[in-house]
Amino acid sequence: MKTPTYTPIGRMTPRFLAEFDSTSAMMTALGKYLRGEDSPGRDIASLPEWLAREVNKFARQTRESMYTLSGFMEAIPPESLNKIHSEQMSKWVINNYPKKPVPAVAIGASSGALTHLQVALGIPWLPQTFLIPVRRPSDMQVDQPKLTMKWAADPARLLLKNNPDLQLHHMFDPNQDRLRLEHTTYFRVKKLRLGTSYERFITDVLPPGGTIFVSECQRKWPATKVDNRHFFQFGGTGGPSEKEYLEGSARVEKFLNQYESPVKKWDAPKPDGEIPEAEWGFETSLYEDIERIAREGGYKVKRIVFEEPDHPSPFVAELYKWWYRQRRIMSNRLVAGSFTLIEPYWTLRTGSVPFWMKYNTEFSAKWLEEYLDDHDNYDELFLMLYPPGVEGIGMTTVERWESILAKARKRGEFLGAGAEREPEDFGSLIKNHTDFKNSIKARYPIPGPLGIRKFSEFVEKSQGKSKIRFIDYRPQDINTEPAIDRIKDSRQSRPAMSRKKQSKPAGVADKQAQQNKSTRKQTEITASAGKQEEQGKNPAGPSGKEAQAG
Amino acid sequence: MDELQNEDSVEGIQNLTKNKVAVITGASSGIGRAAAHEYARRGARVVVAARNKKALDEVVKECRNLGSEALAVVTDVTKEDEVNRLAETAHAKYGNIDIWINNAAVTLFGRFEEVPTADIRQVIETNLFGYIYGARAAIPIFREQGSGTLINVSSVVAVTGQPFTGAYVATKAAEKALSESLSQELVEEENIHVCTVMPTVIDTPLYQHGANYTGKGVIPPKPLHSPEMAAEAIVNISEYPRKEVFAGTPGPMIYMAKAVTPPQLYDRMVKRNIDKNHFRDTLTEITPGNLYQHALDQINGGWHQEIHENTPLVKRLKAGMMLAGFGLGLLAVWGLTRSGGDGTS
Repeated sequence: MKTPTYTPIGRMTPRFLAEFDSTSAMMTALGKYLRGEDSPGRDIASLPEWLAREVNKFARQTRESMYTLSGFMEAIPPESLNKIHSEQMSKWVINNYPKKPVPAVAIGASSGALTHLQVALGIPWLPQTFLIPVRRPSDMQVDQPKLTMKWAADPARLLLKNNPDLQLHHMFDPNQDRLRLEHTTYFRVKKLRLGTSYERFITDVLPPGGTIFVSECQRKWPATKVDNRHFFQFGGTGGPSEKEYLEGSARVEKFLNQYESPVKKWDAPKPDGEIPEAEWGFETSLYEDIERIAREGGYKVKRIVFEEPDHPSPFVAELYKWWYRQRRIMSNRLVAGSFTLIEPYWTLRTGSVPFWMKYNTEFSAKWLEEYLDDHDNYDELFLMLYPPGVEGIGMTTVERWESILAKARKRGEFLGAGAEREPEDFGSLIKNHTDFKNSIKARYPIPGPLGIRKFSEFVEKSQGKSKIRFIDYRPQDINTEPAIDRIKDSRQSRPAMSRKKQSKPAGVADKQAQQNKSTRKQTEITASAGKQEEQGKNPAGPSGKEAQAG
Repeated sequence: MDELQNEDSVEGIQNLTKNKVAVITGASSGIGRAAAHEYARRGARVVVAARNKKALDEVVKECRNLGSEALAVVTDVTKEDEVNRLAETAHAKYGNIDIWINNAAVTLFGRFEEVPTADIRQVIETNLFGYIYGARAAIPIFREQGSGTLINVSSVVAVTGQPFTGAYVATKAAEKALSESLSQELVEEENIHVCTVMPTVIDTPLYQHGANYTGKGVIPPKPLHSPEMAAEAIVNISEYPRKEVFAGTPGPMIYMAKAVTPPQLYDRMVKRNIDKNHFRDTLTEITPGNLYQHALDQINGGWHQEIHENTPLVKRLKAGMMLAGFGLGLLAVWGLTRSGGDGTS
């Protein structure tokens, strides 16, 4: 199954990109699968298992320091930012895929569930968002986001002046990323243009009539405009609500106190509006190039639209189950992985149904739980949990996960970590891969791709049953203006938009129009703090009663 | 301690079959029934399948008398849903299936162009599709378990050929080819094995029960072996999986003879041997035998009085091989002596 690729050296992650990131992990796992290779994942997962045991023997503080240090080692000095060119990222991505004809190419937002979908279809994915960890002066406190935002303005300019096709979402989340942020800060960049490498790759591998799937995660987050194409996002999805990040709360205070912070709430900068979330959200400006290349190459464009990165998981799980049954595989086992722990190769090899969770948060736990309650037909359940490093707000307890594992009819187990697991159980990053292979004895052959026709058949069949929509692309549905302009526009036109909103009839026929409107008007300024319910408090059920499949 | 040794070992050798779950098709008679006994004797849990319920109940009783758990599932292997049900029943009862033995077979004697097409089809349905359905039922279970052994009981005729049993021979060769193909498909699965057992002539009721359009009585050609010998070969291969094994001494010899004999001469020799040793001069009614309904089942075909592990032919072949071996040994010694002398320089 080995297929020649451009060059193995080109597959090496560029020095400035993070390997512990969702994009890197998902793209690498997909690339390895498409090249017919096993996927031990990213991060430290390629280290030997004995090291996992040794690592976990260290005292908690030592392990935390190691985690912080590993983040620092991966980060680049700010002055190196002017050496980065967006094409380096694109070249790295395409070098990871075999150069052979495919019926479709995916572009856009990352979601582990969609990685499993891309694996099933045997198609490459060209990510939009990349993470560049940048070293931060150590005299700056983790709980001083304003200071960090101001400090980042100059380094950001170094990056952006050479890369007019990138939009910087400087993300700073002292809840989930606390340990890494001691000496590091996260520059997440979104491609606004496809660029030469992506375009050449698409035209090389996608014959006329092929499909471009655009994964369009519509998750947004309040952000502060720092400069042209430069935003600062404080916090991230899955933990405290946007409001809590901005205004604080009892649990924020408790969290800060637990980590001996001198503050009781963060001094978050005032957001200017909502833009696509730094890590998961899709920036629609990319549609301009997608539309052009589709027109020139004779391609179809299909939008895969969803709100949260976890939302495609039930759909993909059911797709796998359906596919397995057609292959006369029992499909009675679910393996739920989180964040970078996805293992697409071993999922198929063991005939397991994949369910991806964004992180070990209550939101994801509830999402999985609801899926299981609606589909209580799994004999075996396995959980691969990413060690978050901190006992952050919104993180789920071991007991909570155990109660989910208890839903298995015959066997429910953690992979990579036992019941004694702790947030800084970094050994589990190594162990989950070997545990996957050793704990699940089933072995099925790696199948050929599912095929677009079969996939369309399933999409048709599952219409209205999930929170993921497949929509034919129409230019009039999309606002391709960069987020910065949209923020500016919405600032000026806020009252008018509000009026328009009120006058719009809310009929059934307008459902699609409302969805489109939500895409177009995504930058409408709102006092975003307090707008949204606390994360995970009431996620819509995966049975998708309110969702429509396209 | 002694008790434990007795339970876990057979004649001092570690018993690898104990508590294994073995499904055997065609277990109401002949090799299948003998295999059920052998598995039961070694402590396996046996699921026996065939069309004849009464015979199966007897087999279950016999297995239980040998100290093992047994379960009968009436199965017509020409029907895929019945084979699937057999797998499901066995899996539901014991939680896993370690060994699946495709064994059910029928035969048809007569000139190939003269026998009814429907009978040829029925032979293929039983001998080939029965095995195909069995493999397709067992392999998904093996894959889910990550382990298991599929044994296809073929025949030496799969490699040697045999006249007047064209349909049977074709299916036996197809079974061997099927094993080969499946073995290759599953080569990456360390603990899943596909094995072929190729018995030579076995004293089973196959010869009486077979469809017969020759007008002559059929007898098994010599040398004849016991079903217990074939059963032991099956159990052994499930303990120490190998790709193919002959059950019966002349198997490898005939195979080698075929390889070194000019094709036309080989065909004449086989035809002559079958003419002479496989058919009686006594006239017999034309019959479809047990192709469409089960016959009275038992282990042996009643040919026991004619069983000869060492017929004159085999004795002559063995003697020849021993002589050749002795000669080769002498040559080797002579060669070594010479090279030793030269080596001093």
